[in-house]
Amino acid sequence: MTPIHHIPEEELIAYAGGATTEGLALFVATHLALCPDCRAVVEDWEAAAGLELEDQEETELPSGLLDRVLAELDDTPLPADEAPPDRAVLPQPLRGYVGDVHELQWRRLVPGIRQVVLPFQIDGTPLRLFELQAGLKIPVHTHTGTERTLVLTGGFTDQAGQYGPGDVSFLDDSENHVQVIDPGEPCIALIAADGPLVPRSVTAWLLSWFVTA
Amino acid sequence: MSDEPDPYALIEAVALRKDRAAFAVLFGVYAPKVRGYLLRSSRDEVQADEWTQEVMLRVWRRAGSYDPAKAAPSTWIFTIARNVRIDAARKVRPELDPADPALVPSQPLAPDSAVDRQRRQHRVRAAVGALPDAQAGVLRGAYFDGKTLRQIAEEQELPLGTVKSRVRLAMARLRQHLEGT
Ligand SMILES: [Zn+2]
Repeated sequence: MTPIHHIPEEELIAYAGGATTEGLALFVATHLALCPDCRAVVEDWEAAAGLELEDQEETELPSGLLDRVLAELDDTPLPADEAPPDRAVLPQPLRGYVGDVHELQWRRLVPGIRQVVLPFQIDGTPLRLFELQAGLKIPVHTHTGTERTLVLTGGFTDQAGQYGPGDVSFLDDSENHVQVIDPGEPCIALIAADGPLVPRSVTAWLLSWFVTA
Repeated sequence: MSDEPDPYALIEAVALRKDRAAFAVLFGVYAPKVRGYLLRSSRDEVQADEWTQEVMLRVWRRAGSYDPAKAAPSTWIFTIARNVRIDAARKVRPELDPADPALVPSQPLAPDSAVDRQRRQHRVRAAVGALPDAQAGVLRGAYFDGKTLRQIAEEQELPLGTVKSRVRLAMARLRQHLEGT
């Protein structure tokens, strides 16, 4: 199963060229690890950039540059990359930042929701890893900016459809929505959302929890 | 037979035999282009020389990991130059690991589709070339120069909104162009 909800091509282009901030690149590259389709798009843009490089107007090299490089060539092989583990749940590059699922330093926000804060923002909105309990219903909430979500395990459903591992959801401030976490396993997702957004939805959720409990 | 050096064979000679003569030919072909690319993001010629040196050194060291089935030599060298540019700016580029067990693998390419793939990549480039200059310029700034839309707006003294709408228009046209062929 490959994802059906993707990253917009403009962002794949920016990633191919190397214009994305570390936080956005982490989000994009983690989707790429789960999405062969978007990987192919990035590779096409890198190839287009390669063709652009071929046609680059040649500048005159300062004399001696080749000799300087030749003098630095060494025959010692590069140290081998660390062998990847046999199995992993969270993909690279994300795993390199937070560890795999059993190593995550979760902090409980409210019953059913735990988070790991990452030291990044995307367009000014903080990037976090969330774990949302299976079956959880997050009531109607709106956003003050764009909320982006990348599902890593489990899934959720909202009025736009169902999102499983690798799927990316974008919601802007015009949308009121309810998210229902799919039954089965908890949903772990990488989410960039406004500071006020999550507390607001969580507050609403907390409220409904107290009302129904 | 043409006298044009074959970059695939040159990279292979470097990878298999640490062939310095082959490397010198590769250097002669690519170092001037790489320097031209690096000068697009820094006007500082001394710095561009140092970075060019670093790019070519990485070509030497990493030739063994070059996979001709995955990327053309120019694509591979572009990605090395891009990463040197990012490192030089003291930035980090998170990248996926193709050997990661959690990676969802691509379907293996049929022999014909490798050719299709190359054709598609040339089409992407041709489609950019067919865009109005203003749109092509903004797009090239992103996928080749690695500039953010904000940087492009500042350089071209345009409002950010104008640059964003050029990207939107360019993407719509590209989609038309690529689907129509
Ligand atoms: Zn995708």
